[in-house]
Amino acid sequence: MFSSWQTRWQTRWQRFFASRSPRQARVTLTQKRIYILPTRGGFAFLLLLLVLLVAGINYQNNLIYGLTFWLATVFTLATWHTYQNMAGLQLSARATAPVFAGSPAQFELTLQAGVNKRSLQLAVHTALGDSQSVAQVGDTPVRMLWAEPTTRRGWYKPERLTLSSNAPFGLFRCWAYAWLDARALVYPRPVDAVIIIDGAGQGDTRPLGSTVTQELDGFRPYRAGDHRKHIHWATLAKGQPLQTREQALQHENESWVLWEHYSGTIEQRLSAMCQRVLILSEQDKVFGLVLPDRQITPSRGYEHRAQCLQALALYGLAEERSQC
Amino acid sequence: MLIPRAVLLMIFGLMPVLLVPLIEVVPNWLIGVYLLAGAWRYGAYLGKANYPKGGVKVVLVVVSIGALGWDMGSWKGLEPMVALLLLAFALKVTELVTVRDTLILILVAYFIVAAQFLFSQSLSATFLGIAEIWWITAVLVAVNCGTQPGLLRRALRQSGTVLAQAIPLMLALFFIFPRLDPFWAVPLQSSGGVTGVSDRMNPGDIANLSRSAALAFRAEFAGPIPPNRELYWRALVLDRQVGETWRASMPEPRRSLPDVSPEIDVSITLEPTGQRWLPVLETPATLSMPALIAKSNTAFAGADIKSDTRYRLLATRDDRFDTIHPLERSRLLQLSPGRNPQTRALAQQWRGQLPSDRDYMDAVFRYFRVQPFYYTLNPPTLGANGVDEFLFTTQRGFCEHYAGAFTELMRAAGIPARVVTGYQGGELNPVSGAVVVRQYDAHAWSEVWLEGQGWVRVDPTAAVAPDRIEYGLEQALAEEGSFLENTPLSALHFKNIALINALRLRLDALSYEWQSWVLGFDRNTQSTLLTRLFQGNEPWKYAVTLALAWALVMLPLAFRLWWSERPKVSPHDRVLGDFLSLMSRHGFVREPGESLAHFQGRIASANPRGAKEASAFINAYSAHQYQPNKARYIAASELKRLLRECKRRFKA
Amino acid sequence: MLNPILAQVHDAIAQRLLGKSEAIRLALCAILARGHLLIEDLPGMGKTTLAHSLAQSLGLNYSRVQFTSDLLPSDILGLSVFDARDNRFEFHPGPVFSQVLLADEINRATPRTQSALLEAMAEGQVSIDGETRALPEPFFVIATQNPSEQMGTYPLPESQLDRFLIRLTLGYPDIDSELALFQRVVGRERQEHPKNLPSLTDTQGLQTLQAEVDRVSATDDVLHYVSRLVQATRNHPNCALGLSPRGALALLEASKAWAYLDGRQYILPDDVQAVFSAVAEHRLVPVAGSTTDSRQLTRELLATVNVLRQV
Repeated sequence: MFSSWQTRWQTRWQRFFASRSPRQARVTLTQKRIYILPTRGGFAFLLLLLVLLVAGINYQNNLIYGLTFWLATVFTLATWHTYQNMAGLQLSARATAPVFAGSPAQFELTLQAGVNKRSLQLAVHTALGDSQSVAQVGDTPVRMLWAEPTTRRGWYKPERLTLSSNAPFGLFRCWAYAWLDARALVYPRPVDAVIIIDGAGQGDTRPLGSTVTQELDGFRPYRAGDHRKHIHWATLAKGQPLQTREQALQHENESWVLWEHYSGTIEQRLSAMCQRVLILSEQDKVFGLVLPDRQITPSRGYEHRAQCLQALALYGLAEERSQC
Repeated sequence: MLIPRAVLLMIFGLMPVLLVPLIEVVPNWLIGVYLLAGAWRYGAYLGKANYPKGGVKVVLVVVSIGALGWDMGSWKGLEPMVALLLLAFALKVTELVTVRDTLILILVAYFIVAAQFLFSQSLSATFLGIAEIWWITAVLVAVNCGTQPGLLRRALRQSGTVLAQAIPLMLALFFIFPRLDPFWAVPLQSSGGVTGVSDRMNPGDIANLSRSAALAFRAEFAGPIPPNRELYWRALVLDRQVGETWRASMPEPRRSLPDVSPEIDVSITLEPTGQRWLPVLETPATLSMPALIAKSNTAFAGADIKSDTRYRLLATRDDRFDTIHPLERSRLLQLSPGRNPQTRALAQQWRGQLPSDRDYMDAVFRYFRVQPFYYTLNPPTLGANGVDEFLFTTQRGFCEHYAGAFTELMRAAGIPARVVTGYQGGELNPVSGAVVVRQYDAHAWSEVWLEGQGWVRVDPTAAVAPDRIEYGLEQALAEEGSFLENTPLSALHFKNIALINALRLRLDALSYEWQSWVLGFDRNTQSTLLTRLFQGNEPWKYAVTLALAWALVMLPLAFRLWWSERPKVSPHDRVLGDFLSLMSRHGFVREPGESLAHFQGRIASANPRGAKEASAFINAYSAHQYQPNKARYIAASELKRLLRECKRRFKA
Repeated sequence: MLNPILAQVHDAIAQRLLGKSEAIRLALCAILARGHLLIEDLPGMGKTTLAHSLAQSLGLNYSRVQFTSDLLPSDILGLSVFDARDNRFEFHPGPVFSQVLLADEINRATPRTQSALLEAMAEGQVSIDGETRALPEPFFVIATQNPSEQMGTYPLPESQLDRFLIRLTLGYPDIDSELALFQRVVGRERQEHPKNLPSLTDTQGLQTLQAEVDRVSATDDVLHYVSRLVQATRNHPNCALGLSPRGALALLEASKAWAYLDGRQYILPDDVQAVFSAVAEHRLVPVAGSTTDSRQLTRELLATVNVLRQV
């Protein structure tokens, strides 16, 4: 009963905070975003002030009165100084690299102090409860990494970040929420295919005649540095000078990762295809990818792999999840 | 989060500053505790000692608190509390690990500063307090700002900044906050250092006191300041002789005086004495603080004077209110039996020849003047029959010797007499107008009851060393050179060097001003001041003042925030800003990434009425801003003129 | 264009390459700023025409190398051949020893060959058989590249792309230009264009022009704008790799040349904007997985980075 009431309150608060700070690529902390409350130390300080005031009254001691009022004013001024410490700070974030579903997505946060300012003793809390501290953000921006777990493929956007600081007096805690507009690409979780139709995995490797025809088996004299694999050893056997096969690249078989070769739910298929793409690029094979709505021509290399994985990650996702 | 090394060092620096000003009121062994605690924590910092763990901690606390209770005797009063506070600080230092520990330590430290103010509110104590608050706040900043190079300097600057910013509001609150009555009777101090004249007098006591230049009290006369020879500050009346010692008996309350017109109006600021007596002049009529005025024309506070106390005394020179009861008379003739036979024999002999009290007294006085008595701060030690020895053998003594011997001679002759101790004279500080009385002004004299005249003050010292009464101790001892011989560097030795003397007097005046002001600011002073200041005491005026003070504090801060975040704009850019807002009012909004040339083209193609003028403006601005050639300089005023043209055309 | 020679060169090339005035200007920009040019486009777009006519009208000697996967570094740099008669090695300079080198389809060659050329471009000299030989002055490379989707290619890595001052795409001609082109072939305006353009200046003249470009200056306002643009590339969340300091200097050099082409001795923000895409696009690396490519990035930056300081 109570906990559900609490949760409701929390969600209401979250909505309130969220409405005050929409997702942005770059968040600048201003008074609209910075919240401030006394810390436990601040309340202890208030208690001290009360005791001092009573002492001043009971002993009719003007210096204690003075001390009390001085410290009380310092307490109120501490709000300004604490706010000032964080004001003007700029936050921006970006994903460092795509990840596979199930492994944490890593983001890089960049903190930049306002013009001619320093921010001290900042703590960055992620929604998952881990926190990191930054001693000082001054003339140079500070970069730090944080990770959040992913479960589904597609675009992943980071949860809320909380930035807080007690500096410089420890009597007040200033904090601000930031929903940063960064996104990490989450590939499907690679899973070995359980169900393979039409011998996928083996049978998807087939020669593609059309691309190999052009300069099939051209030969040229061997030059130092040619790859051993490409040397035409047969000529040596005949006692002739060494020959190198040209366009050796094109001689390799091209592979295809085809949607129809896999079965199961969409996610299972994508996972299995993802695994296949990984294996093929591990072996540095030339391969292409075919999805119901998209075809990627065979190629290889890092860029190609990334392109294929991205296609798998975003396949069939509604606009709001692929664009969000 | 662990505390950085700089913070630890700052706390080590704080320890003696907190302890030393209070060392008079707490057991001395706390010094040892502080050294030990500092060493322990430093050892832990070096990794050579462990922080006290559970059992050790309990033992430490129990042992030290037990020792404190045993040493101080009782937990009542302020001193045990202060001692406990200081002890808590030291113990906390040993287990100082986290930022939270430091915060607790800091709060205790602030409280110790307040405790210091309880014992002294002098100018120097105030300055020390301010420095301590600055330092403590710097520790607070340092521990919350983490480790950086130059932490100490930055923390001190930040702390100083915030404390300085707080001053206006602090002052407003100080003056406006209503001075309430104490909520409950606070425990007053139970023991502690005792200074000044005491309620018993042995030969040599006052001489000892006179070696000190410590301040006894300051007195500010409302009217003309009486000459030094009339300034007999009465503290105690000693009317019982026990052995060679003169003692005070319980003060007897005096019946209230009939209406008298007080001739003396003096405000006295008394340094703590640890005793109850309050110095008064002549016959005290009223005191501004609750006090007992005794029949013997002395006054006593309700408790020991443990902190600076200020009161106003109205007194009269009229002494016709004295009477002595026959029973009392016998008490005033009491002498310790079997002592000083020579003296008493001499008294009997003279009394036989001189039946008149007056004549007898004159004879004794003459004896002191004629015999080779010597006024000295270093009298020889006397034996069991001290007065005999003094009168007939050594003949060297300080005021208490003369007063004691004189009183004995009077009593032995059947004339009621008593010893009065207190202070005599004082130094007028021409800067503050106050008479400064120091411990070396301590004095003892006699009073003799003469029928029909009442109590008559007789100062035998005046017979031996008239300079003492006229000019003070320094003059009287000029020949001997024993004045403050133990403190050769005291500023009082350099009175003849004009500059040093002027400086000394000015400093004294300043601290007197401060003390009388800070001690004197009570509810009455406050309401007088505020009524005069505000022409009335309506609450809204206070509220407005507080709000103004608040604004005074916050406005500069708001201004600084605005100033630091304000874009730095050149005059040309400011005119351009005006131009752009003019254009946007007329529907031409420049996109951030749009260059002026492009913007110019866009305006030109829309061809509004002022296109030509706008174009001219942009050309002028661009020429000034982008052409490195200095000959292209176009004054901001020229730009303004072009802008006015634009405005005119667009308006038309 | 105030400089008559440059105006003539521009017009002469524009006669052959219709509707590509901006590309021609960018190419001139590269050569005036002593930089190299990368043209990324499909075959048949006029890359060769541009390179050829540029070299001819500027009076520079010219050679062309078709890059293939079996092209060796020595095919470009040259080779020492043993001369049996003189009993010594004789150096046969490769095509790189010409003032304008058109490297066609540079991404077809192996990385080894590519880097041999790119090193020569960066250093202005080549080392063959332990002997250092200086390249001619001026030395200007126009490399062309097919869009990297085509297979069997070795895309130039970012570090190598950085060596090209400007990258441009010619793109398809607009309708008017295309029609004008047709008219030349079949229409009333049919006329013979000589195969060779007359040279309008010479090496000396070009070097004078380059020296004048060096003298173009800029005020703080413009420099701050350049700096803001560069900073923005580094701070953009979708940009994994912003402009390097070398890239920033390239932007400034190109802006100077562009300003000079406009007949000014000082840079306007408009000059920076004109060359920004051509200078920055190939140097920026978008974050992996982001949908924005570097063209969109430069456009966005140009639109959002304020030209004026604080107003």
